[in-house]
Amino acid sequence: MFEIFQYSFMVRAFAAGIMIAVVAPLIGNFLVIKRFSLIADTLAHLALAGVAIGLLTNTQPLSATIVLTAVAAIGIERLRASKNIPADAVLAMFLPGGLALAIVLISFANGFNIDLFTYLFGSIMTVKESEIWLIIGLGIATVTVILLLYKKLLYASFDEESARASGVPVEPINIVLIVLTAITVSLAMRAVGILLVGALMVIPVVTAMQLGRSFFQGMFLSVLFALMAVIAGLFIAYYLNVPAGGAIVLVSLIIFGLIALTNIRLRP
Amino acid sequence: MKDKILVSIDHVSFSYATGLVLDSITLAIKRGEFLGIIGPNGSGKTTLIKIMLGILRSSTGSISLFGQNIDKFKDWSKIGYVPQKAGAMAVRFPITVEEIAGMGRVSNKRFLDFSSDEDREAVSDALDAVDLADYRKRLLTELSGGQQQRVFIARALASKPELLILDEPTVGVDIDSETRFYELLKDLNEKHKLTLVLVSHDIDVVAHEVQTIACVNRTLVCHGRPQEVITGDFIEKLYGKHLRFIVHGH
Repeated sequence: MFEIFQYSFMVRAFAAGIMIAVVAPLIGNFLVIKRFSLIADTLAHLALAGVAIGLLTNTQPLSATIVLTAVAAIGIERLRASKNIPADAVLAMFLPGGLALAIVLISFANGFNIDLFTYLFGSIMTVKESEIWLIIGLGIATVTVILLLYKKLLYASFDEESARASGVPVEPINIVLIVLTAITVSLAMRAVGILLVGALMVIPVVTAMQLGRSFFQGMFLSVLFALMAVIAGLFIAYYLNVPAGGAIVLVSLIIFGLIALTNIRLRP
Repeated sequence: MKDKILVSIDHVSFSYATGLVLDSITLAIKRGEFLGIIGPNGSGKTTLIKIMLGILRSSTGSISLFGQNIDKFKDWSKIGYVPQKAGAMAVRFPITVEEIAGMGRVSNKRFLDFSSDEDREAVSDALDAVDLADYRKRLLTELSGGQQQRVFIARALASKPELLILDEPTVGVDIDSETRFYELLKDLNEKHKLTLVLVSHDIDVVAHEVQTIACVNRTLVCHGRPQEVITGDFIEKLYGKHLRFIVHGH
């Protein structure tokens, strides 16, 4: 069954997929506890505008996307922190905003084409060598930052006000988290596509929440479930000839369903 | 003398867009004091402590903490804070008692966050103090309201503070837990020599537990020992004319 690894495009798909499966749920844990899960989908829609800029200017869409989503993410965080607008309304504003910008930019680039669809629905099997190194490099950097700032990220995400009162530099920590989110969304976009990015950041976390006996353990489990989904999803995509992004997200939903069901049955 | 005053609030005013919330409040909190800040809902109590904690900035006036102007004050681990409805979580989320108490050790002095032996010991001492040592591995959402409240006190204690500020800590807690809770506060104040500031709208309970009372309703309406302050026209001044006040014996 391992002839699948004879193809270098599959090896690249697995390398990118595994890196993303580690990073996406790690960030997702902090977003879920912060009750800010929808930021992932919002940034994903902004990512589409980033892709459009990349295609329009003939630069690598991934780099353009990372820059655009990071800048927008800081704007979102600033607006949220100002407390003049409710946090969910900020997201509800930026999400269609990103899409609107993307549509206009795409029309300049002579409309929809195949390239764009690979970003909408993901195309992990067409990941290029240069992209692999960007994904792995940024992935490792993200994991490192999370490990180093773990406690501050947890405190600021769990209880922002008390963290501030304890002298934790909440504003810079929030900016770090949201920029890491922007980077992760941009990377994951390549694997599962803009429309499914949020799923990879949230579903494994929610699955782990059913079982975890601590936040740390929950983080570990969420990465485990994401890895299972990505690896199984890639096998399914290859052998059944279906889109990998859809397969990955469906597998992660099936894992969630199985765990939720056994959990309900086990509970008194 | 400077060392005896932990918090000095000098003519502090604060306004939200909707209007003036605090009007020229002057108040000093001495080391070892157990102060109750009381007042009706929306009287500015919580705003006042948020200013003391540096979460909000006063429009005018000045504040000093441990003898130092609040803008220069960096030693936030000396102040523990238990917010209103701390960390209220309705949905099961896997976070343990120990992990929450450990947040109290996150400091602004260290860039990296690896736990030292000193951190672990402080967390374990804090959980002992609130009688939750056996619950360290339990999830927050598996505890009762009263126990959850004590988790957040443990978090505040873990930084080894000299001043502990609690905002409406007994809201949503049953009577039994409430009684135990005030015993714990008394213990922290007397045995652990902790200076306490307790914010509450429940004058009845507070009056019996604290040494000094500050009544806030936009201005500082009164300040002093409970038996001196709670007399005659006090309620009228604080709440308006149409409220009766019954002091129960404990």
